[in-house]
Amino acid sequence: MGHDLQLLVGLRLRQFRGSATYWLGTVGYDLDDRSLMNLLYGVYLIIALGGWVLLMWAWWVFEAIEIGATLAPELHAQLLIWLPSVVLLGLVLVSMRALGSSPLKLTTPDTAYIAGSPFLSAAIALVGFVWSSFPVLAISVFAASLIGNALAQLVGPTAIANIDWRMVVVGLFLGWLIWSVAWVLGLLRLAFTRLYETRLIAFAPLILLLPIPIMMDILRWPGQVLVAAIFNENWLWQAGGLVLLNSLLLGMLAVVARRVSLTDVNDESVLYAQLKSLGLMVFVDPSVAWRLRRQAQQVQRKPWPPLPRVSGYTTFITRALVSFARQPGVLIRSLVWLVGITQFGAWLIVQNAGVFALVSWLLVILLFPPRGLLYVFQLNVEEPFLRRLLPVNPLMLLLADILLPLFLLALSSIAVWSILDVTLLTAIFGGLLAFSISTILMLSLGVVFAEVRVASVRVPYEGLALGCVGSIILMSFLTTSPVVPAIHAVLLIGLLGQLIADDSEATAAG
Amino acid sequence: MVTHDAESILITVDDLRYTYGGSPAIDGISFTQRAHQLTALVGRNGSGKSTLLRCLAGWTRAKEGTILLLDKPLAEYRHWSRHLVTLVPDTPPFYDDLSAWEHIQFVAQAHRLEGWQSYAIELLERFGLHSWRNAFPLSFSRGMRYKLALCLALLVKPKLLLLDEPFGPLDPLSADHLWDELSRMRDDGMGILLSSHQLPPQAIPDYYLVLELGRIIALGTPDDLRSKLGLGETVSLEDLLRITVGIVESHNGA
Repeated sequence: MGHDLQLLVGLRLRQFRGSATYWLGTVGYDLDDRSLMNLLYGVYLIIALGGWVLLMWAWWVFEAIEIGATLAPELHAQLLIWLPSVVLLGLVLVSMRALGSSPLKLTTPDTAYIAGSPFLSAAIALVGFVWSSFPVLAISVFAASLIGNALAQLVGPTAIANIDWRMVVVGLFLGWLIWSVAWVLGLLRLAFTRLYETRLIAFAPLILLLPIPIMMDILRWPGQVLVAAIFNENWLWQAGGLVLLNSLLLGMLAVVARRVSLTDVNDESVLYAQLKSLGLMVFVDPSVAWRLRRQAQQVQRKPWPPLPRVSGYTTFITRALVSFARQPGVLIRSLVWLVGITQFGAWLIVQNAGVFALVSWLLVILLFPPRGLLYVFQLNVEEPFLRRLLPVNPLMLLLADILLPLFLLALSSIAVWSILDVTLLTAIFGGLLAFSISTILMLSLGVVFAEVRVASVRVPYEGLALGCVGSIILMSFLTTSPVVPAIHAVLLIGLLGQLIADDSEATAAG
Repeated sequence: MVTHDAESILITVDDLRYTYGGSPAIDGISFTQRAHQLTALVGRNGSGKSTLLRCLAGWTRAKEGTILLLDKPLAEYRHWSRHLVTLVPDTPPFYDDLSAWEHIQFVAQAHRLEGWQSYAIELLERFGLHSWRNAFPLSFSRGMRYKLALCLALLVKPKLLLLDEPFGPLDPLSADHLWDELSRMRDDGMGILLSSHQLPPQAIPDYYLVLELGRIIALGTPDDLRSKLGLGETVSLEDLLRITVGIVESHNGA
């Protein structure tokens, strides 16, 4: 066991060094360069990074102190009562996640070289636990620090004195406790076949939230340690109790991990390994990771609701409806976002808001396009093999694929502008403006997904959205009425539609 | 059965060129593909087979040259109407959210095909996919994915079917079934152009196109090639490639 742990820790440290070499290389620091200049540069980087982290930490703590000082005494008392329950809720949620899918994850190289090696599974699990706990501990210490500083303000000088150190210590042990419990439960599921095969096991931790008096007192105790540390009363020996409990859990982890089948761990690490193999791509293009997650969920489900038996163009409409029904989260998230941002934008335009407000709004819609609403269209056009099997004009295909979002956007426009306290004319053109801007943004994405070229150049979403919505804003500055920008927006919709429909051959020789 | 009348010409390629960076992938290729003709596109790795197929399907814009599809420049066809030509790539993609059967249903209904169910079931059974029809292609192996792509392509019956390495991912039984199906389609009037490094044992294409470094180094019927190149009674792809490439290399060496 000791030998295995030594080898695995050595491997992880080498991997960490490799990763650090890459990241430090991006800022011009070479880990292998022993020259004085490089050393001085390293010191400078440590000071700069450490200073930045401390500065940010101090800023957040300062904000927490400010908020804490303004809390009403009743609310303050309520928060202190609820705090242990919040800690318990955190433990339940993290445990549910660990029971849903193995907490121990393996990358593709891990699967090939570690899972298939004679390493003890307990050693692999222990190293995996320790390695995964670093970010968790950082988050828990940070959260405890903010909560402690906020809630100590109304308690008094005894509580405020050395609050940061107490919060770091308790935050560390609480984070460790939550993570340990989740890992032990997660590995227990993997260790026992009957638990592994029980689908609803992930919901088992919800039992801990049942209001059974004595049990609740015991379960709320870790959170009570946090409260005791905030009050600076009898917290040290209770923190010692947390250390004891954590040591016990670590021992349990090692024992349970011996029974864990790494085959099951491999099975539940497929998505994690795929995401890890993407490397920086996960950050450069988050949609790739999002799609992999969606595919991983999809493959576990049954195809429901069924694709209706229709014919011709109706097929495209029903296919889009079925796709949205199978991925309702995709539709709802994007729709709520687009409704909110475009209604707000239309309101800004109608109110003749200042340049700064409108430019800020424009930047937001450029940065966050409503991709989810066009996800069916993207699926339909992104692969030439599948696209060629669909005998329909790209504009007609787009309309079928966004019919449901368009309908819901129109309904939301009517609803929002009938509630607002404005004249009938303003309501009609304000609603039309909001709906038109939504449509323009979707059509702009449609142009991108359909790979439409203008003078052999692919038009980016940002360019189209900026040009179209920017010109609507410009129109709004030229007139005080919403009529002109609304009509201008409708004309732009026609133009964008024509651009997508005019999908003349752009790729083949002739 | 090969016909040679001008009316049966599906696609005419004239002096086609394509480059990746500065390197020519296709270097002045000219040929015709007819209806009722099953052509095997043969060549070593990097000889330009896949690029040629992508150009013919209109997936890639050739740098120079002309492609006439049914006597009309390919450029004049709109994307969405060019289902006259279907290319099945070597790793076919699928929709994330539709099952195998729903892929077939979606395409068949979109094309308003009559009585497609029985033919679809027949295809799925022939390729051993029937019991997997309700599964998502995401979970399919490469061979199963290729079979499903073939089912979709065969369902819509394009005038010209282009297949990139169809036999590579298939098991021997499925490869035999595919060859039988392609032969039947060819007899019904479809033009088929397939690139391959291997063919089922009994398979004899109507026509061969041998590519090397983006150029056609040999073309003709099996009889033509037998007489020109002195091949044996059965033309194996290995022999064909070895002899034609050998001739080119010795010519270049000289």
